Amino acid sequence: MSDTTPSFHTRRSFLRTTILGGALSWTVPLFLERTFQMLGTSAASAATQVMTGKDTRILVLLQLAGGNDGLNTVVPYADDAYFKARPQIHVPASKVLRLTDDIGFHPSLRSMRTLYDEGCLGLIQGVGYPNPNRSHFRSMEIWATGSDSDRVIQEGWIGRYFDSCCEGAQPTEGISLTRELPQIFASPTPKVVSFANPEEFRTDESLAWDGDERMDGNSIGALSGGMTMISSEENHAEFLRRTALDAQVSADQIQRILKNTKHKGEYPGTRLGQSLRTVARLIAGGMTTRVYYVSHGGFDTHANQTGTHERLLKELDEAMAAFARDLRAQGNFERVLLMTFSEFGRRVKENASGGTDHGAAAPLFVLGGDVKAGIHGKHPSLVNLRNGDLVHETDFRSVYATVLERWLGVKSEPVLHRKFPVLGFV
Amino acid sequence: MGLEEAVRSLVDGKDESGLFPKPSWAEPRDMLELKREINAIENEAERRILRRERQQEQTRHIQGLRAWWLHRMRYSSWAFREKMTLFWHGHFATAFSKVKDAYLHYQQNETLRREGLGSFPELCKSVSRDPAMLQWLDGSRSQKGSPNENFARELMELFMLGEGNYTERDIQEAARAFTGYRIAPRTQSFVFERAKHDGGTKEIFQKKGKFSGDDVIDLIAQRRQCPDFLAAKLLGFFVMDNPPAPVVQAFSDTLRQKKYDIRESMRVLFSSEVFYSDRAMRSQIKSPVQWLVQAGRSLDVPLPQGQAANRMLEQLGQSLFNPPNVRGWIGGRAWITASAFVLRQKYGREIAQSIPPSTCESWASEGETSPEEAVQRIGLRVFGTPLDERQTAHWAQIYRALREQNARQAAQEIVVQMVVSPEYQLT
Repeated sequence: MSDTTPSFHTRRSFLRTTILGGALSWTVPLFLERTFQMLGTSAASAATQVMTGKDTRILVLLQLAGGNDGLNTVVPYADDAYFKARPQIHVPASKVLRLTDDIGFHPSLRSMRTLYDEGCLGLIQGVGYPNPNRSHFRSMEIWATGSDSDRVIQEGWIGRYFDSCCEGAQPTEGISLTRELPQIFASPTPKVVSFANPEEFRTDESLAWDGDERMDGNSIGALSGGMTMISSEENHAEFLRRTALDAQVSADQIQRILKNTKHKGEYPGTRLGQSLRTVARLIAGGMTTRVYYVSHGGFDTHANQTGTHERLLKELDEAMAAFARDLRAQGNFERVLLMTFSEFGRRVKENASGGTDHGAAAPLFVLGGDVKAGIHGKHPSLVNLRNGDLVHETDFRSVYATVLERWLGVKSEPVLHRKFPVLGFV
Repeated sequence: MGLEEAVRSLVDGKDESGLFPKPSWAEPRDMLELKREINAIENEAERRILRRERQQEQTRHIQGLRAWWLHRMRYSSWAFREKMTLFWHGHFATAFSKVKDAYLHYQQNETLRREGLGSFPELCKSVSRDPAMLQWLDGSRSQKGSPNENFARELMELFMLGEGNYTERDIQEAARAFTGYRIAPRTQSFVFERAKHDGGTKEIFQKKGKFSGDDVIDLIAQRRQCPDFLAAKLLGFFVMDNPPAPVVQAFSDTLRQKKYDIRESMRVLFSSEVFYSDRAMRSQIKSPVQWLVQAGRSLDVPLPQGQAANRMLEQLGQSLFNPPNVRGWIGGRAWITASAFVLRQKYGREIAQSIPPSTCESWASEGETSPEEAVQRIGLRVFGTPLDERQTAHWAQIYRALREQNARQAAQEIVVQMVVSPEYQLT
């Protein structure tokens, strides 16, 4: 065990005052008490910070995991090449929710069509990157890190954004409603917590805060020592301690906010619906989180695509509609930008199993009260293909650069390490 | 017991399948007959009810299968084989979320157990014919003329070579070789349908031939990157995170020398210095399954009853027979999210508190013992390794203070505090 106890005196006084003093229920793990004590005031203030998050802008990332079939989401219903490539699984032109003379939405996206008409849903066409990789995991990594397809880097683009632009930040700059922590947040000192369900993210008892009493000369001296243990080169034991501390602080904060939020929003019972419901409740409660992450899975439709895709898009549509309705009612719609993304689109030509294999470029959606609705960019050609795949029109990092510069209000170059053209969707 | 003997007792256990009889429902079903029954019902609503009942039955069975395997992990005297099976389950990750048939998962699990210590390429061939895999990666629908690429891609990317060590064309050509693999509906077993198979000439890794699926697996196994890939994966699971290149190289050489014989390669690994190095000891974060099973074994407590253990593992991010996707569980630090940590503390406390205080007391002392000796004895049992001097002082001090308060429960509370500590998450 890597012992980071500051001094004998502190430990003794701590034992006397906390464990044996009031807490005979013995429910607070000792090491946590100790870590708290060492971090002292900084952790205390993070745990009890007054919420002033009513004006900052919020980004919600919605992952369509598995590779969403862009061509059956935004359908080029006037293009013969589309029907030729997909004799079995095309969306019939008569059912398409038309946007222009060339393209329209899948019939499942009824509410999103309405949001589009109301001017708060934007569509960015043909998003991808050069030399596309068709591995789920490699392509997800490329999307998460914003790297070129031939370079491997570890840090996620949001992780770099937090590191370069949100100094001294709280552990909940990001919240992910997933069991695994998405790589998008990866950083030497990640400022994100994740939980699939807020019910699982609850400590038995919130710590009874008594920071002042515990502070004496020695523990203040230990404070700086305590902070260095959260270093960029942390070993597993240090990582575990930091995670435990972040968990304690943020679980209490999140539970308090969820409890105090009188929330009316009605959402579908799907996992995505419930995830967005949690996000909306946290926003309503004044959580100061800048980036939320939710995931909608099952898009890897190699076989029997039609029914599955129809259901997945319907779930997306209903959840997005509920989220928009709710944020409007809260008066927070203008502060929120939701963006969908997927690791790739799918092959233009259908396969023999009534499905599609891994492809390349695909459209993505942006939703929010301040979004410039409409269609951004050109639909990729169905004739000029590369290896049977659509060629991207817009580099995904242009979308990131736009989000960083125009929405989050920071320079994109330090985060993306290069200049990318900024688009007009916000 | 010398090292050699210790490794032998680890690697060469005795088959004890008789002690763990298969679940009573684990028999093939006649899928044609089941379909006929459904189709015979005229009323659409009734048809739907029957379908739903059958689905619920499968869900009950998969829960039973999870409990069956956990029980086996907890009590098997050949724990290594169960851990190896768990490794392969994460490697050939197949999920109930898509393959909603518990018998197919049972079948795959037995295949991984039976062949998991044999030859790696032969295991891959069995997996390529495994009905759960055929359904999971759509192989059972792949046919001549329009092959489904899903299995061929993951075979190269995730099962045998690693990303970047093949071309898109290699995948498309390999996919042709696996066409015609089917699941016989009456027996739920593999059948090869020659008429659906593409027997033509394929070009893979710049070699041309009328390759079969098995040929493709042999071709991949001959690639230089294949033993490297497998070595890194095995080391990552059994020894250390991110093993350094020379270690991977050395174990890759072993795999090659042993002709991919897993049992013999693991024997070498467990006898190697690397396995006992500082770099390897207590350097890994326990997976939820390891955390739970190890707690049960070392603390001598039964696993949580009924569905409790399954629910626990699901919340901690490792639901057996339901990995998040075909890559399996990433592991390492990915296990420890903020919420997972909170849950490990909650459940860890519950497990430790289920040990009677008198038992903990008996672990602590035989007659008169100093607090230092007491926490060393408890620590050895809980952590599996001896406490060092500083840790001893740390725990002894807490133990003393606790004893002043409540002598009878002090030992139990020390066990609890050890189990919820960050260090307990490491192995």
